[in-house]
Amino acid sequence: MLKEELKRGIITENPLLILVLGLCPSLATSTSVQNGFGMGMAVTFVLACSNVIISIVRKGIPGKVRIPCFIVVIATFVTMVQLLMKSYLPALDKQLGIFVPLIVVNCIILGRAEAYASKNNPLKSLIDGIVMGLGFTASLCILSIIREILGSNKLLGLNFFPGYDPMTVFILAPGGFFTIAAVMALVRYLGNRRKDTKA
Amino acid sequence: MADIIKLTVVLTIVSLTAALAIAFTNSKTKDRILEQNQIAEKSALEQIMPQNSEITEMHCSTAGCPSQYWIAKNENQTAYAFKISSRGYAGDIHYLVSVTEDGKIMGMSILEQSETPGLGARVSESISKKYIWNGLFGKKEEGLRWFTKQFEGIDINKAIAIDKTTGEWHKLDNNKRSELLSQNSVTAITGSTISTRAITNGLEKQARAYLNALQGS
Amino acid sequence: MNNIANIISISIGAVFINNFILSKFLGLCPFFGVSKKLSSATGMGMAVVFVMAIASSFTWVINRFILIPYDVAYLQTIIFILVIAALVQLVEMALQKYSPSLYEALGIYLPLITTNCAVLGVALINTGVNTFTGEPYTFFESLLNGVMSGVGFMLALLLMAGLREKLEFSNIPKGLEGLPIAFITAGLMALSFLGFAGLNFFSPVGG
Repeated sequence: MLKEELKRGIITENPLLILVLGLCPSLATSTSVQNGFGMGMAVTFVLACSNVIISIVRKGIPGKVRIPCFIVVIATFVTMVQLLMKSYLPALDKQLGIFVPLIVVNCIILGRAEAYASKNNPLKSLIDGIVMGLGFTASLCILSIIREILGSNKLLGLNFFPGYDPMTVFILAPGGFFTIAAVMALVRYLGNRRKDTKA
Repeated sequence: MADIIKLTVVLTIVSLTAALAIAFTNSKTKDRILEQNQIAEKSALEQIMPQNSEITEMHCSTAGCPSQYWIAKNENQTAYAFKISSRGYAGDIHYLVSVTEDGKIMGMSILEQSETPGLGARVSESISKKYIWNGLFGKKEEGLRWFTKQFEGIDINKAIAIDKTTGEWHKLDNNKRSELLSQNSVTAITGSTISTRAITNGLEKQARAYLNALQGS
Repeated sequence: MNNIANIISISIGAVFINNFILSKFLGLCPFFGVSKKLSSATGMGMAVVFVMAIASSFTWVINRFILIPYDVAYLQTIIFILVIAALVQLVEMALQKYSPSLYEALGIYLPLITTNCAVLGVALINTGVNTFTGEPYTFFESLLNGVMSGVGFMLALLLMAGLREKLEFSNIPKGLEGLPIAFITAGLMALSFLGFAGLNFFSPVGG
């Protein structure tokens, strides 16, 4: 069952590449694998925690105020992540900058709270949060690997191709758009092919 | 009416719990966060001041004097370190610079900058000779922060020239490097003269003024 | 003279040099969701400018007079987002009453302004330092920043909508249909806006 959930979160319902949620932080923080991975892990943490809490209190919250309540819960965990990052990983916090507090408006978290956690039990919500977070992290890493290698000729801070002068545009804004266009198109192409061969 | 009361109660409970959780986390992490800035500054100072010397922090309030600076004395020499902020392209660049009594730079360390990645941000880049295949599992090696390293030996009492034609410092051989030094010149980052000039301006204006004020001239 | 220079610097900066969508990646979700038609893009753009303006003012005041004096700056995230959520709710109710057609046209994207990174983003930026003057943003600078960033957002949105309307009639390879081609279009726009980087009308104070 866990394996199916993993497959769902990372492949078939990948929040970034299939559901197209959480765009803003993805393009901004995928300039290097360390940043992308760090952001992905922060989002996974918030997603898992908020899913659990929201699932626990789902019966007690009246429908009308559920969105503000979700936001308060999510914002609490985001603030905790902010404080923890500032104290234990200050370098990462500086790199991610404004996008750490912006995790609170990451559509993935609110989306999963609304679509899943408010309708399922805590354990299932926890697993959903974790696999969706891992899917997000995986897609961030794919984008980061491409952008870091092409844009700064490095991977994890170490040089990659000898004698290659990097295309700086890839770690700047346009590069982010082009990279995600390519990755998304590839994902769709592969998805379409699978559908054709199955049919 | 009962509806509204229930909504208000629920919201209040949720908000209070949230506030408590955040306040708790804050109290646990507050001190460490304050420490972090000081840790970075302290380690940067130790790197640019002479080895085996005692570094003391001083304060000065006369006009022209740096409000906060450091002195390091050992048997051979006295060195001063200043914290400078210059307007770069996208914000202030904060850096520490240490100079000998006659104004020669001993070392420089960039503390904070928010320049464009790939361009101005390269002021703090560290060039590593290691590639992904030998770097991942080998010993961790400190890369060469060439931009700040090239300032070693530069005289802040003279005009600092920016060389845009020779090429970036880390690619030059020792002869070329000595030549640049004799002309009190540093190489610019390709495509970011603004960031480079911000730093040289800060040295020529602020660092020089601080040194003069401290030496009473 | 410095004031005018400051105003121009903030405005041009927010609209062109640091365009929220094309340089800072803030506000992307609605950007790709609403930009299919020029008319809905205009309505959305104006709603966002309005929310950003009011959000900037409210959050600045709260930050300056409550959060900082009581040393609870770490509550910025949660307080700001709640203020924004409340504001959007108000705008929704006002639109429903005074302009039902616009309300219908925006549909689900109106409540989604709450989760628009651009709104929270500008509120957070305004708590920082104005790179032109070197001082923290004042109330009027925050308001200007909020309005102009919204204008920049709307500009990008309108440009995108115009382009996408034309794209409807082109032959696009199957895999690129929909979002990928939209991303490539955005990338090309971002590339052209990159030309504004380095634009500096006035040298900053104390530089």
